[in-house]
Amino acid sequence: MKRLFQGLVILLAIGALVQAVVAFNSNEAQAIDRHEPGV
Amino acid sequence: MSTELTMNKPRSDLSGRGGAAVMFIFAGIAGYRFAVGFQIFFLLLILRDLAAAYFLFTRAPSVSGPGPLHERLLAYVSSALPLIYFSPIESTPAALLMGASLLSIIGFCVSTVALFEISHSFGVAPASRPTVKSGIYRFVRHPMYLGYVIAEVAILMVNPLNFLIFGASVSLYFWRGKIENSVHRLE
Repeated sequence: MKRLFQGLVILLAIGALVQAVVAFNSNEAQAIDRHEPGV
Repeated sequence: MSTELTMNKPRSDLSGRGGAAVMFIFAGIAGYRFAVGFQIFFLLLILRDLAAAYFLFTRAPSVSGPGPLHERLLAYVSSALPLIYFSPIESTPAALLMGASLLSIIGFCVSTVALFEISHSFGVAPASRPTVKSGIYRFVRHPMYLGYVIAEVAILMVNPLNFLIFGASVSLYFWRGKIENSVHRLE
């Protein structure tokens, strides 16, 4: 049971990491589309 | 296992019950923040806070009773200190914010994995509970503090004004680790 929850924790962390990177990339892409200075 | 063995006594472990209530409230706050932004990170926080509440509610009683008052007070101060960190400064570059997010997630992941490993031995104040040397504890002596420090480095990255709080917080983690080591050596 303990290992199951630890696995869930690691899966959630991987999901959160991927979500953070995807959100960053999508914000950067939008900034480039808008031709914001400094991007 | 009988209820008698797994549930702590309300009168003999008020701090456990109180801590469980606080963690339950934190889980509610994390739930609200997840509902607002659908960030998976908050699901991780909900899981951690609910698990901490459950383990505090059902933890093993301290063999040696409560430790000295100053040790308990400093441990609670150390636990509450991260709540007063300043928010990220507005001019923080997006890449730095993302790096800080990744560090936070890794830090909370490490401390939550450790929490499930330590389970019913979990507590805020140093106390003599069954020692855990399995899982992540085979590699790191205080993985929960390591996780907190990683997450707090992220907070420092996005607002350098936090360095005083960070210094105090890390010092207190070292002190708590040292006290816990000495408690377990006496077992």
